[in-house]
Amino acid sequence: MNVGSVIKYYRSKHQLTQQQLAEGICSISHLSKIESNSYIPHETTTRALLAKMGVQWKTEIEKHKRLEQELGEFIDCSIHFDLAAMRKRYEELEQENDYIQSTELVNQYELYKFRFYTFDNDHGKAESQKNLLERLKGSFSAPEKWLYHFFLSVYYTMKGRTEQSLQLLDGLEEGIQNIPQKFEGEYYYQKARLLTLQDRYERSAFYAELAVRNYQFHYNYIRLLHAQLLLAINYTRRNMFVQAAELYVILKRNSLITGQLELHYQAIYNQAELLKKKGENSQAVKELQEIKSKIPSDSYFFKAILVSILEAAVETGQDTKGFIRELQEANAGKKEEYFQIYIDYFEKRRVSQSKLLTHHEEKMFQFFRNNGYIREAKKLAFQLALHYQKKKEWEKAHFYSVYQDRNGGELAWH
Amino acid sequence: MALKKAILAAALCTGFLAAFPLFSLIGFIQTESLAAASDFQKAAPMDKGPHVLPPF
Repeated sequence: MNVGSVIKYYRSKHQLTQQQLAEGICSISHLSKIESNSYIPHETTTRALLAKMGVQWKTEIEKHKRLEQELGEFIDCSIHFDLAAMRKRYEELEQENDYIQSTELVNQYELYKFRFYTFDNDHGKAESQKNLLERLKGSFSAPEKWLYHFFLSVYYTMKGRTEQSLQLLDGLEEGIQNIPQKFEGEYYYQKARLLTLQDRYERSAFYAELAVRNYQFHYNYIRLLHAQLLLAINYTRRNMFVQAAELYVILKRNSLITGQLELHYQAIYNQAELLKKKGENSQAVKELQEIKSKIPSDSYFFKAILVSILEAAVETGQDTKGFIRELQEANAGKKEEYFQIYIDYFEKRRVSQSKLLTHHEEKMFQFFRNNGYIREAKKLAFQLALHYQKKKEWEKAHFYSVYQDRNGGELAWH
Repeated sequence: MALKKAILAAALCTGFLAAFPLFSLIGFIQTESLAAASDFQKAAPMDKGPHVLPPF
């Protein structure tokens, strides 16, 4: 605890000059040295200075201890993804913000506030906090610098600047031994998540497995579920159906037990992707329909569920008219081209099969390719390659089969 | 005998001279493809989805 900073804090609060406070206790230059923490005063001087401002030294020590503990809990909530408790702690700590600024706890507090704003998806507050930390970073210790860059990487993820985010994370791998142990899992998790977005599944699984082990070791249950969901998605996309199916059973049960409803729905959505890959389309439709009614109808998730239902429904020969209408209504507000492309596709599919191929090639494939929908473009390229192989149009067949292998993902550079 | 030696020496020299640019070319190609591979890694694009991933 920096006694000098505390004395300075109360002196400013009471609007006293150094001369006024020092009078009868010590010299002004002595007080000045105390306030800049370059000199630790004798306990009687500390008591006298504080008593002059009506502050009890003993109470001060207790207050500092309490704040230290509250900050520790705030940090713990962040590591364990207990967002409701984190918000509560944040509101309590904010009441003491001025005081914290005068203590050595300030850097940690400002750092975790940054993390809190990104958890909260509050772009405005996160940005101004980032600017504040930029100014503060000169006073950071080595672990605080590491944390700052780590939180910055999560901030870039929130902003959708995932490449920048991954670049920052790559640079942090060497310093991982210097950070608090509890953060190791978090590092692996964020890395695995970003690699999933890059379609690099083998590397992603490597980090996701490390994250799972680490979260298990620290009894970090909610984050463990998050890491397991990443792994389940990973196994599904790499056709490791048995492993994926086993994880989904665990995820569905444990997300309910821990009250993580959103995660529960996310697990069901991704499990439906697995069911579709296994050809169990009716089961997929059934499960997706159950969660659809629980999601706000203007959300991205809701629309993604409908596209998934439609994909499964056409395979089972179910009537798709109602689902298409629902998707149209959902996309009417915040119009997203990706979903419009699918609406057109499913409508065409209902009316005429003959125009489907042209739509596939000229509209969908081009759109996916030009707008960074790597997986979707590859999926379509696979279908188109098969089609042209059957028709013995080898040049086109070759183009689409090569496209599958070359664009993005792990195969691209190994 | 002298003629044989001269022919052998000439063959070795020309062989060596021909092999030299070939080997240096192979090295060049290898470096080029390595550079291209690492460039590709840097430029590996992000997939826009649809993703329903757990929170960051």
